[in-house]
Amino acid sequence: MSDPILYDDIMRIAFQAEGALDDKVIAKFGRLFKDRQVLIREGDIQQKIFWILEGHVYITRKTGDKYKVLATLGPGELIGEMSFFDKSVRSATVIAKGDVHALEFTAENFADIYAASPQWTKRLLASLARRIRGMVERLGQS
Amino acid sequence: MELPQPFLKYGSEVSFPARSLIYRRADPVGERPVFYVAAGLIKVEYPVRSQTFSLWLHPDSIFGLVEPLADCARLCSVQAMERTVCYSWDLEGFFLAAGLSWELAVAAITGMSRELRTLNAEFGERISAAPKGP
Repeated sequence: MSDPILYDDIMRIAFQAEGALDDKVIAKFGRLFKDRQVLIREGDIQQKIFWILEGHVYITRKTGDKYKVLATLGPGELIGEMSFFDKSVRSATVIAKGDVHALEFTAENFADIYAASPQWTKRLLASLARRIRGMVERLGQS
Repeated sequence: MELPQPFLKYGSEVSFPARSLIYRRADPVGERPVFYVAAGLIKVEYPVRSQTFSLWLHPDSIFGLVEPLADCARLCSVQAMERTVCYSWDLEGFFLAAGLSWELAVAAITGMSRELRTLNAEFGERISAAPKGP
């Protein structure tokens, strides 16, 4: 990596997770989204990954001219990791529900975070498991 | 016997005959709930009201991880469609193995990402096909 200071911050996030979230890290990676602002758009191929710090987002799919909400995710959740791992285009549009504060990582930054510490495997799998459970329960009622 | 993947030494080999049920929906997760498919073909069936919705898993897939992580009973039924050889772990053993094998960890995350993507798509189709209210 060309920027050793950036790499140090990435490694702190990898090993300390929430413990690394100081002003410097938040200034470097933090991003504010206004109500209804789009974080990720269905069909896009960009691979940014977001870590929600404050606020909630709607995970939606467009059907006709309307967006249907699949799930609502909040603080602590990672968004956009599915396309990173299964190398597919974005399958959903993610929209801010109110103001949202998130960390934004490039695919390269996220690959370094994920590769450095096994805690991210557990974190990602637990998040996916919760979302699968929620979707199975909604499908059972649909 | 030499194992096809070194991380499998932390799992127990288990063989299923063709058409055998591995677990069904609402079963408790059991002591070794996480499976790696070494050979064979697996059918996963999710309930969707009175119907079912199926996914197929091939060798190098992982299943059974969702429920122990989400702390719930089995959400789906799983059947071996042909003679199938799996390795199974408890949750702690799986994470030990995944800590040793980048490929296993990535396979688990990729498999669950695809499962969620497929379930999301199915849900999206169902809500768009649902009759509109008055």
